[in-house]
Amino acid sequence: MNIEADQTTMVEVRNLTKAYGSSAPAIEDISLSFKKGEFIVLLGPSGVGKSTLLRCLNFLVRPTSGIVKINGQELGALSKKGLLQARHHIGMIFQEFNLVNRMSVLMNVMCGRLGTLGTWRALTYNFSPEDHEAAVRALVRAGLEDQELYLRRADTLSGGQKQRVAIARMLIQEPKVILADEPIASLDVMMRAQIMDLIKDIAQRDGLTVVMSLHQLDVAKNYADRIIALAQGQVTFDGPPNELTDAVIERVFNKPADEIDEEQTVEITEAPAE
Amino acid sequence: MSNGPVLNEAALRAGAFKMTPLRMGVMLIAVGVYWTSIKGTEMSIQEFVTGFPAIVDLLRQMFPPDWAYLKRLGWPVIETLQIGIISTVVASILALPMAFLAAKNVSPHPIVYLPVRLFLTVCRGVSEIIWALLFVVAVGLGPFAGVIALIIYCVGVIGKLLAEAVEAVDPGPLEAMSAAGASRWKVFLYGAWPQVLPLYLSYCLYYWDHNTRQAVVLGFVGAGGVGYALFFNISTYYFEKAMMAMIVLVLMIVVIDRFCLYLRQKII
Amino acid sequence: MTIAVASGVLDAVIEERRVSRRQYAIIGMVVFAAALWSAWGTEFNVPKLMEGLPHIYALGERMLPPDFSILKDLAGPMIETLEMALLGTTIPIFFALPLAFLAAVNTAPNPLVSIIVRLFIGIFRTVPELIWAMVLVTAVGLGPFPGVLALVLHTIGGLGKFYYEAIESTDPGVMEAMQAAGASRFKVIWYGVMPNVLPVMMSSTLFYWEYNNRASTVLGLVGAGGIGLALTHALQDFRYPEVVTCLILIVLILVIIDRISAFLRGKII
Ligand SMILES: Nc1ncnc2c1ncn2[C@@H]1O[C@H](COP(=O)(O)OP(=O)(O)OP(=O)(O)O)[C@@H](O)[C@H]1O
Ligand SMILES: [Mg+2]
Repeated sequence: MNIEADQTTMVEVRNLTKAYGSSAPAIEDISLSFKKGEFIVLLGPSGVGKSTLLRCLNFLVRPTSGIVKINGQELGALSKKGLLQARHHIGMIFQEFNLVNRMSVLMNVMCGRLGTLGTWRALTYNFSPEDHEAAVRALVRAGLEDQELYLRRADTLSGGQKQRVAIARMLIQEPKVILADEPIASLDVMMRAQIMDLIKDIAQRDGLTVVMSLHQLDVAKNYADRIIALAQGQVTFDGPPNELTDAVIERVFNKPADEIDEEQTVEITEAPAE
Repeated sequence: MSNGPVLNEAALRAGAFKMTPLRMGVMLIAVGVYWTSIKGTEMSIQEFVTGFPAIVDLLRQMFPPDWAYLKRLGWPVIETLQIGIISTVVASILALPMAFLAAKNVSPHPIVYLPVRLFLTVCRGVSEIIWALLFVVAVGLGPFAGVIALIIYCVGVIGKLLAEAVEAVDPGPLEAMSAAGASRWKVFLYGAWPQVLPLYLSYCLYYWDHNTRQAVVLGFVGAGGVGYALFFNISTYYFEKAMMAMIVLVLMIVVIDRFCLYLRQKII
Repeated sequence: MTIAVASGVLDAVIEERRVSRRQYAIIGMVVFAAALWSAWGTEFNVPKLMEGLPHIYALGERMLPPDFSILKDLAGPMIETLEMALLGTTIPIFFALPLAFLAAVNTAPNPLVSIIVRLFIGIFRTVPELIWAMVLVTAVGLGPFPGVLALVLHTIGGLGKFYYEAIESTDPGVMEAMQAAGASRFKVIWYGVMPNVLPVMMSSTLFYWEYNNRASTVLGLVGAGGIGLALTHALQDFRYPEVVTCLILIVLILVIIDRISAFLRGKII
């Protein structure tokens, strides 16, 4: 990978503010820029606005003010159609996987192509053979080689498999940026490492920018190139993992670092959803 | 495990009833309401005692049922079935757009959503039979007025149930598809519709059953079918024939009930 | 290798689509044919409805404005309607409950009893209340009394079915445990079954209360009391402004009942 490419800015956020209704802003005046191929983890206690920030990056949530540029394109300046096209190149995965339970795995993956699917094909639920092939390739890349699974209903899969399907759905978009909102929170410990490795691997090979929110400090330190901590809707720390000292953690989370780890252990023993 | 009973007894004791002034008041009011209801509807043991022989007498007149009448019931049964089918098919088609307009999360705008809700409420606000009475004025006696009545009521109910189903859709998949750049209608078609479809079908089946039952009742306002045969025979004191019609009716409803149950199990 | 996998899956998908398309086509055709046949049989035609629209419009014109001066005369019948529904829902509980325990396979003394009781419950339920009302009015004369009886008969069937289904869905483990502990049949039912099925029973009773309120507004059509009688008279005498007043009142009351029922249901669960 050449160094120049790595220096191009992929995501740029300037003076971003989002307030829901008339309440105090969930995030306020945030300015950041992420480079191509960078792996960014957003940290912070519950309710600081991690999800809000992520959703502002693809305008699922429309910011109250400020500018969001993805790959040089300013989202706020785009037409409705333009925005949909822009989103097509921004992949997103979620804590609850967000698959359609009653559809087949293959169909779920192909939903990543809905943005470019023709009207008639969309109306008749008829994806093209190319879309099918792309879906199979994406599934294989996401680590689901067993084609027995492909025609099964999505709700018959395990949590880890579901997240792999969601990753395949994101891959089929051929994204340049991956947004991930706590993608491992509903998985057990073993699965967490596997899914994180998978995302990291995909990002490195394709040179993708990853912006991921996490609750797990240790995981964040292991995988991130850069950690951004939020508190009260603002950035309180921004730097490489090794600069995230216990002192900084205490400041961000408002409690000692070892307690946070304890909390994480408790969370891990919880049964994963479904 | 033998702690089941212990647990339950303990639970019962813990939740044992305590008399508070509020509860006392509520109970007094309840007793009062009950008392006036009994007075108001002329319910009394005496009424029952005097009425009972009359009921028994009527029952005796109904037996034996007039089996010869059976073959004349063929056509009315078919007509009742037809009323049930056409009203359910039309109503379930009409209810679809109504439901989407009335569901908060997909409706284009509150300006649309509120009047549609109101419309649906009025549709199911009065019984089918009252709608039928009104439509008899417009299209005359006959099955058509009954069909329109069933359609109106059924649109009201299916529309509301379906709107609730749409509102209860898991928003996660919708969000994922929006994030992938799908437009509104695609998001709906791929994210919401698969979740709603089985419910929709099961409502349609349920209301087919319901409409067939109601089609019988609509015979009272001249909508034809077995209901009319029953109505006619009772009001002209042909009780053996009425009994025959009643038997046919029960059989017909049981068969449809079973059939719907079978179909519903196939869907889910 | 990937491509080979893809083509295999693709074939399966195409085959599945073909099969499901044929199924949809068959189902669609059957429904369409049935609808067509029914439309023909019931003289369903849109032109006729269109022709009738002026009548409806004229009817609407004659209905407005509603005649609210009769509201005070309607109060009596409306209250009677509500009273009929109240009695028609509560009296059946005392019959439906024991019948349900006899009908549910896990509490019935023997299978034969269960079958016979179910048959009775089924008959009570399938005959619509309006037909019960008509038969009873013929037997005992006009008034709210046959109306209440009609609701009672139909509701015994309806509640009976809800109740025995609830009883059958209770966890057999609890009952077994109690039997093992030597509890009598009554105790098993009272401590093992009732606490579990009570919420479901209450909620289905509420459902029937709503249902009976709706039903009792039309029982008057066959002379069984309530506001339906006032409505029928007004319709027969073409006093349309009064008809509308009745309708508005009915809709309002039913909406209120709906709210109350939803509130109570929230309390149960
Ligand atoms: N749709 C919404 N409407 C109103 N307020 C919202 C909405 N979504 C989020 N908020 C509020 O905005 C703030 C930030 O929420 P957000 O979901 O971004 O936090 P988070 O950091 O992702 O928390 P968590 O770690 O629990 O997921 C919270 O106070 C939340 O209550
Ligand atoms: Mg969040």
